[in-house]
Amino acid sequence: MRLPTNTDLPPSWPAGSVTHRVVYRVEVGAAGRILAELPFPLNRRAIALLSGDATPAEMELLSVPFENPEDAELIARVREWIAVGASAPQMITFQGAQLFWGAGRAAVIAPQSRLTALEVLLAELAYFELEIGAIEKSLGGFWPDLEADAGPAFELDERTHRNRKKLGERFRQLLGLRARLTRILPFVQTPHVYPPTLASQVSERLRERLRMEHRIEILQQQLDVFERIYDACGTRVSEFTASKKGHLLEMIIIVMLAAQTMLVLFEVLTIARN
Amino acid sequence: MRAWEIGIIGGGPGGLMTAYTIQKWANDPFRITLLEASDRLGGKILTRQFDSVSAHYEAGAAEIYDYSHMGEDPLKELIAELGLPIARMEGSTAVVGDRPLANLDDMHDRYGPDAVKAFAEFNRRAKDRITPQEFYSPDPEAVGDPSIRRGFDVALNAIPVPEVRSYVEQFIHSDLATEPENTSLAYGLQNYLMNDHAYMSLYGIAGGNEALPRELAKRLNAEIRLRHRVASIEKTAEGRMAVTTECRGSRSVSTFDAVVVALPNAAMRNVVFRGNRLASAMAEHRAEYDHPAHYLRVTIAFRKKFWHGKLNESYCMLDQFGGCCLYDESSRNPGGGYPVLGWLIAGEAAEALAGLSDEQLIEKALDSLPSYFSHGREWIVEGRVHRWLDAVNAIPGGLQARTLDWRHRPEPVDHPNLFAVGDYLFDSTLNGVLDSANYAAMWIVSLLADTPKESHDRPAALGTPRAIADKYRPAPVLARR
Repeated sequence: MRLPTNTDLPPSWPAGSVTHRVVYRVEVGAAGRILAELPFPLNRRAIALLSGDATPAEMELLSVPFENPEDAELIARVREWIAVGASAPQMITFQGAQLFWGAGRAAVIAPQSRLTALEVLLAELAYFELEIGAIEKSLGGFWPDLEADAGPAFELDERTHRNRKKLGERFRQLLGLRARLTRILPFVQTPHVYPPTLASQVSERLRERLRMEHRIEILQQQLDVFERIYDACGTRVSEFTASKKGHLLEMIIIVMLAAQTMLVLFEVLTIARN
Repeated sequence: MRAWEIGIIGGGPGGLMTAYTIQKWANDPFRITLLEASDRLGGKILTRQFDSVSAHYEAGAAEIYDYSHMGEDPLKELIAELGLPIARMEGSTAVVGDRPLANLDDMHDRYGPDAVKAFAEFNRRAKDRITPQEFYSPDPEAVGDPSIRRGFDVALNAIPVPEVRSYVEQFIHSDLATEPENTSLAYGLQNYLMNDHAYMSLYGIAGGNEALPRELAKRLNAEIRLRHRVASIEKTAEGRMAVTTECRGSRSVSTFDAVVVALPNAAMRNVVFRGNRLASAMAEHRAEYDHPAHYLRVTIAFRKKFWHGKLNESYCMLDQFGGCCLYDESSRNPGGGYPVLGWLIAGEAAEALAGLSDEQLIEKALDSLPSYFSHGREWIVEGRVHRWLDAVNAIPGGLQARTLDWRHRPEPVDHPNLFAVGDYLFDSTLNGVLDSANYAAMWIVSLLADTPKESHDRPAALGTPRAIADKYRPAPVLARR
């Protein structure tokens, strides 16, 4: 069964061509129809939004059923569609299908019998790509903070100690990013499947073309650096807090001793006067 | 005190690797003489240029196996040590009945769900027989399951769907270089399983595989005698080995303390082994591994890459010639030279067609292309043919489970310092020949070390314990078949 068409393409497109505006949600609700169930434990569904739904799409997918996927004119049109907002869209010709990948957009030209499997694959891969992109973006935003926090990782002062809640919040956010990355790892780094299916073959090639493994490796290395710094910051904050409490206790003892000395002196002087 | 004299017969990868390894491991004085019958080094590793265009191609060994994901990979480490860049090779498509069949979806569409089920069952059985770890590091001396020594046709015949049976047979035919009934179940399954990356992957040396022997030869401190065909080998009265060679019609005799015969099994029949014991041991050795397999390589340079978009991988299989591998040779060197296609015709087809002229073979190769490539004829620039008859082994390692010592020392009693090295002792691959070379080199190095230091006048005593050999073995390099 074909999924709902969200954007009506001009009739000049091959019959059956559709675009899907896709969002990733836990629940389908009234938002649309399930395009793909993401594997456990991702707990997400790729949902094709219904026509007229104004919800912003997380990605758009163009699906063109065509027996000759190497038709130059059609390829040019799909490239034009996918190039909106993308500087250099990727294109893969594989096993009788043409796949295109751009920023927030993907497209497939394939015979009708292969289309559904490839749509599902693209919807899944787009989720991983969006996740990796989001983590890259978030981590990129952390660099100025990291530079500022590198000093306290070695030596903490009173002013920074007052900001310890912010440090803790950044550490928590980083752990959150690490968890997101770790959750998609088994799917992005899935081993070669043999005997292969068309979806597994295309998935391997697209992951390679999008340099997913390489980018994940870099993200892991960056997260390691961030975690090391904030881990050290955490240790310094604990030490600082402990030493501050220690100082307070020392001061209390000193004051009490001083008071006791004063009382003893007062008592001695009183006895001497009498 | 004189240095040990080591004679290595054969300037192919086996001879060069043995010499290089001895040189690397030995601490005692020695001299290596390498004797090669032809006028070039490299043997079955042969990278050639076309005459009329700037393009090169593999005329011999096409690819190297990558086991590095499993553990140590001595050949990949050696290639890295020599500073050679590598290029990955991929291929999943078979052209069957003029249409590509690349995955289970294609099989389902073409032959139906029963075919997919039959293929999945065959795949499961193959993987049950040999795990990736067993594939990587089998015990070559283990007797194991005797059924593994049956013909591979037994496994194929168990596939209930004829189209699937034919697909599997054709897909691995050019790897086997023989027909399924002429090889063992184990070797057949290994050649099927190597398509799964969990077991291994393939690569070539960017710029041509011949860079490997060339770089090895550059680093050798040995006397290399080209055009020296070895006529006979015998033991001298002093216990050394006398090797008679022929060069430009004249004969000469050299004596060595140890001799490594690094020749293809078939080439050994041209060498006379004198002395009853040696002659009979070598005859037995030859007979044990006498399972000839054949290749023909047809390579054609074109003006245009007319297969672009249809063949996007390094190679695909054709259902012609009983199963033939079609290499996109230009994928080894993206961006350089003319586009080149190479046909690897194997087994009985190679033997039957070898008598045809080069022109006829080129014509047959072009005829074998699927119809959607038929327009390629108009782009031909130049074609080349290379014949490799009886060049590889259909049952490498033999049918019997033999110890590594038995394989490498054909006559250990009277001729303990005569060693055999070759891919036929392991798996008919470049990886196997390095394993074999390392084993022989380990023995020689331990014999060298075992010889009294005051005098190297006599060769070492027979039967150096393996413990001593182990001492000089730097790492467990004897992986894989």
